[in-house]
Amino acid sequence: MQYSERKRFVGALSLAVALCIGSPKPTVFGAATPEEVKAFLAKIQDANADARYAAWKSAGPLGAPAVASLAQLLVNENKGVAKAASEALNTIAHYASRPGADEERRAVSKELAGLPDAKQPQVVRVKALELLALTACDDCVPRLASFLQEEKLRDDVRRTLERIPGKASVQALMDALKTMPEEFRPAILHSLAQKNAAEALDAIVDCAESPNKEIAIAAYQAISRIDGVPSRRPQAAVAWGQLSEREKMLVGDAFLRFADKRAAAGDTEMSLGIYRAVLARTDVDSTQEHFKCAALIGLGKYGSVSDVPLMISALAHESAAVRHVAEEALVSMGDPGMNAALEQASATASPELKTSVGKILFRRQRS
Amino acid sequence: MAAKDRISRREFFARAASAVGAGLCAPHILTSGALGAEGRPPASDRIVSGHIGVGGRGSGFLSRDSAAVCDVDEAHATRAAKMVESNGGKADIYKDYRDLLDRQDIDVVFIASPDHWHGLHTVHACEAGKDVYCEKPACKTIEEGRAMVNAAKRYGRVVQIGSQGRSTPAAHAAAQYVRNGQIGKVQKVTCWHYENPVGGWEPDTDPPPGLDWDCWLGPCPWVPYNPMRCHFNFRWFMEYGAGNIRDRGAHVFSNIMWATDCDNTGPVGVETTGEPPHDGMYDCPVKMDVKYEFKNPDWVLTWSQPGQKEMDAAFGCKYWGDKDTLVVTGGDGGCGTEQKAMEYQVPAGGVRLFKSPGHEQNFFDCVKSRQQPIMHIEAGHRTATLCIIGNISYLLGRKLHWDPVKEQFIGDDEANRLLSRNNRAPYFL
Repeated sequence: MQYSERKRFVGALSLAVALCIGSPKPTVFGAATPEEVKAFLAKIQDANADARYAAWKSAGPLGAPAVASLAQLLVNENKGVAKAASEALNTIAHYASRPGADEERRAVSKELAGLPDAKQPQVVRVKALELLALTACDDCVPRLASFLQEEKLRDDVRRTLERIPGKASVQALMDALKTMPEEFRPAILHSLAQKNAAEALDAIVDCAESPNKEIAIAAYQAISRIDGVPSRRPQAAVAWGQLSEREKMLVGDAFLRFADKRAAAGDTEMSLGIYRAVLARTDVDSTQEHFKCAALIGLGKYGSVSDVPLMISALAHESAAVRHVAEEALVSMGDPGMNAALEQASATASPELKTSVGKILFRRQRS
Repeated sequence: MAAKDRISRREFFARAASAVGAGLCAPHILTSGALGAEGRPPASDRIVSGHIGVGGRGSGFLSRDSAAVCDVDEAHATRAAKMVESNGGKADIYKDYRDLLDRQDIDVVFIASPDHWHGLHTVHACEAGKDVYCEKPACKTIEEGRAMVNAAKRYGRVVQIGSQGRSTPAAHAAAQYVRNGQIGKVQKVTCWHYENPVGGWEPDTDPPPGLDWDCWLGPCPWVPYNPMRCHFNFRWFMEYGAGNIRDRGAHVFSNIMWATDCDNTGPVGVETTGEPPHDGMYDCPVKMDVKYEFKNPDWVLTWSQPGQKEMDAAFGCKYWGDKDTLVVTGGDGGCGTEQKAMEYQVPAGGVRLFKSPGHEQNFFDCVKSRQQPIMHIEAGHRTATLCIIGNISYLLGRKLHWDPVKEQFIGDDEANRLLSRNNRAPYFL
């Protein structure tokens, strides 16, 4: 009997027994026997590449029992065998992760979680982490998080935790924020942002107050990417004037992202404050015209008639991009008092601005 | 003061044609404004460009107005700088693209780095205030593509994706023919392309002098250098180029999405079968068949390697309507179609599609006008989405259901974990 047929038979038999006498379900549903694994491993090590392919292609139903043995073949001297083993592991992991196969997935993840152990070759440890990123859930996290201590494996573990959904991985990363070396903290902050970890926001604010610029900027970036507002505003340890131009771009982008996020969530008061401040600044020269554009776009969506004078002044900006965005923003603003505000502004504007405002009014009336 | 005088030097321009340097770079498109006097146009009429990735395709964008070139391979960067010099310009060399983006004199950036870098380069370029021409495919993941769209929108940037097929007369004619109902209701579009290569084995070695291998890998997992991974052959690894479905598919699909008016949507289902090389380093499927289901209207898109050739073309697509069919060969700069489409005249009240003057010229025109280019980033992202989800279905070995509005898979946690990439530090979006 082929192991796929055996799987169906064993499954049906187990279910029948369980229904009849209430016995516990098998812990590894329909997985291969040791003999089947042995036979499979022989095929994976076949001298013929086509035979190896046929084996790895059908590896899925083998499940957890095959994982550890296949992992050992990852360091086989024959690159073709190592490749076949790697592909077989992929097939098993993807098969076990199909919808509705949670028990199989847990079983495979449990086997994989044993492999990042220090006594394993690096290639085995890294492969296990790669697949755990796709199969693992909360139950694997504590063991995985313990490997963050190892510098050579640290980033691979972080990347795995980043992909595992659920609260356990968020907590593991938050714990790491306190214990990991400083140079690794920006990476952890990035992962928390990727996970949209709102529960980490206050811890991230602590990082935003770091005198280490790299950590502080990474923290601002993380805050700007997570849905939610921290319970307090960071008190920056580094003044704006101490930042390089590149660093100003990164922090400025973080503020504008934050503003966009909050506005989209309905919290426009904070956002409008940011947009207005950016647009009103005169120390931001033409090389940061794109910040002006972002502010205008934000005001165009969420602003009101009180923003008209400030936005109209952008119609005279030296940058064509700013002028274009200002026009589009003023055309699209939905405040009912807009036309009157534009006409009023036009009355005292320079001849050039009068022309621009006239064009905006014409477009608004047409639309 | 006249409005033209008031406009700063960066804002009013025409791009000069560049002479071909040592036969290595393709000539740039002449703009009408560039002619009239010999030699260069005045400084106020030029767009200053920076270039990230100047090995193969990237060198084709160079001109006298290229102020900076960036490549992780010193040899590529040095050669590119010499090409600019031979055209009468001067380009500074950078290895770190962030140093190039810091340049305040650079207006636009051409990105022709390997595919796995497109997302980061484009997002960071927009965040630095640059307009961007990014080679196809737009992105490697759904998350990257959406981040590129968001960055362009946030900052009002012009971003053109290099699916230059849309700027060819044949693609335009075919799209207009289909959009005007000349083949009836589209029921299916079938694509064919020759197979991906099988490859073999080479030993890992030290990277060649001048190549920063860690930087080349960037956000991808670290592996030892191997000459089979770069430069051109990155295309045959799922981690980098992910095969012809992303490489050429980005071209072929872009024209199909245009013709079927799907630039802002996507399929609801995808199912892929494929056969990888049985041995060797490459892992992209040699043969593959992908089927996408679209709803409202209902139609099917297929991508087959090798598929059924039409008109003896190496790759292309065929539209099947309820009244007629239409073949479009190629899909990149070498598009062709049937005579009936080329001769078709749009009647009054019919659908008239924008006719691009040329892909790069369209980009420059839009940099000036601030309008959306013909292959804007949303369209680029939606096209790349087809390629990406097709590959995810292949990797997982199962049919997947896709929500084109939420841009997520329905009911498949593992597939959804692949919507983003867990980037290696410090290469973050």
